[in-house]
Amino acid sequence: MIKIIILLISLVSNIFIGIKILQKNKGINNRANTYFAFMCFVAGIWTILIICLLSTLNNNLSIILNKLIYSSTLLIIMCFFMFSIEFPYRVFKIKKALYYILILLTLIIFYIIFSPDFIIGHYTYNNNLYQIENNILNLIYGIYFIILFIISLLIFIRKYILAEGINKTILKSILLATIIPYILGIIFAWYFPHIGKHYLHWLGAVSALLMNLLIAHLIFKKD
Amino acid sequence: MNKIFTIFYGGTGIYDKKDGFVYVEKKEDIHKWLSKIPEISLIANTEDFLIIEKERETKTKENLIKIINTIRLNENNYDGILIIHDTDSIPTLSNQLFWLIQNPQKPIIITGSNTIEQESDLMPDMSFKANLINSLQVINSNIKGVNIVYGNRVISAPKVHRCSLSDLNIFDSIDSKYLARIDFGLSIEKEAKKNIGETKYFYKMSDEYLFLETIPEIDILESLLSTNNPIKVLIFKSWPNKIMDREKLVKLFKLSQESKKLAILYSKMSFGKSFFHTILTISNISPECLCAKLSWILGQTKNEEKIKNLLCKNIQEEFLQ
Repeated sequence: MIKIIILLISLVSNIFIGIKILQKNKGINNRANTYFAFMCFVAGIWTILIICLLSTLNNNLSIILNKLIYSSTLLIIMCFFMFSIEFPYRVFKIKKALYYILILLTLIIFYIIFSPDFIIGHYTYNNNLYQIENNILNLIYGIYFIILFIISLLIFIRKYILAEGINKTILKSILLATIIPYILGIIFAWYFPHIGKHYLHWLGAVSALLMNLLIAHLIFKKD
Repeated sequence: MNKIFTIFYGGTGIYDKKDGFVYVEKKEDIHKWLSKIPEISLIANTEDFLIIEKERETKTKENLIKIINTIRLNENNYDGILIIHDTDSIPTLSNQLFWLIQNPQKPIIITGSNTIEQESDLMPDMSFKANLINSLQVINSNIKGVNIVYGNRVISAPKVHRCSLSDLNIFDSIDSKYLARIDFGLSIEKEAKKNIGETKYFYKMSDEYLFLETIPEIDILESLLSTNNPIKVLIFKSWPNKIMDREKLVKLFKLSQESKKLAILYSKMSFGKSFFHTILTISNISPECLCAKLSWILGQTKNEEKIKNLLCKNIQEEFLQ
């Protein structure tokens, strides 16, 4: 029950921050805000899916939920990558070919997730049903996720080095607000399931709560 | 990509470890200056510009008219105007433009490099690049009017006030309300975009006024209010914690009546005492805005009653609510 309550708090914080960021877009076309808000909403969906997964013992439903969870985290990292390019402003031009390659690779990963070979078995632990993923396919998924995360991080670090004044301060806050939650997310939602400890995967969604708290501080603090 | 017209009017010092300070003093400097902030070319098209560098400190009136003319000529062809100016005189320039270009349909953003002299060295403004980039983003967001961008604040010209010599924010708003804040992107206030009428350009302004930080001794008052003195209006700052000398006030009233000069008592906050029918009191307005308003009024009329009426009228929401 405590897990569900914590996840519900995380869900509410995701939706709240997403709406707040989207509201800032009124009258201005700020793509960075759109990507971040979308990332928050998908993180919300991810949390809902985890709540559903923790509440079901139906194997077929559990497989679908598991695949949807992997899909949602893939969308989250895609949004974060796009956000890193746009926030707070672009510092380099990106060729369209790179976007096409990225879309293609993501589609391949989606194909892997929804392929029948991705989930190979299941087990119950503490009255919860867990799916066992194909180790190699799960590793491919994890590597793709981590590569996108590292590239996004490098973009932010480069921007931070180049930036001055208030933009440097904002970028520092964004880096702090995203690095730790993402690393925790990768550890709990991917690494532990990958080594067979699925029962900790729900903590990945909770790490989003930390990110939302730090972002809320950035938005609502007065100077 | 938005098209922006840039006016370089001092305050262009950008610091780079390799080249030291890079300024825009002539057309040839632009390329090198822009190369120090390559991000600009990804945010907006800033190919067109005007440089006012020669005699910028002595010919302020001529320069102001040049700026108004340039804005008038280019306003329709661009998405916004960016003015780069010395931070010391940003409050004055922004208020002058606020009164001489009323209700502009495009954003007119003023920012600048806050280079401070320390002993024999110049201290670079490490916020300048960020301020420039953020100014372009504010123009892209179409916040109309004459506004200042510095640090994480977008401040309306009549509210701007210098609050620090050197900091991330060196300007604040006299009522602590900002048009927008730069935090997670731009946080724009609801009132930032409202349009209150047709654009009006004015070219006449007058400096026949004097702003005094206190009411001086009676002999100085007599000299200031003598008919030989060309000054038409005298503004005396009233300090909130200082009791005004009644004798001086009576003398001030009498002398201004005799010389037909307008004497004004000014206070940032409202007066606790009424001087109705004797000395005109003005409050809830920034001193820079009051001076710019008076300069604009004196350029339009010399009639004392009209001056008084216009001074007290909230023409452009310049008075704090």
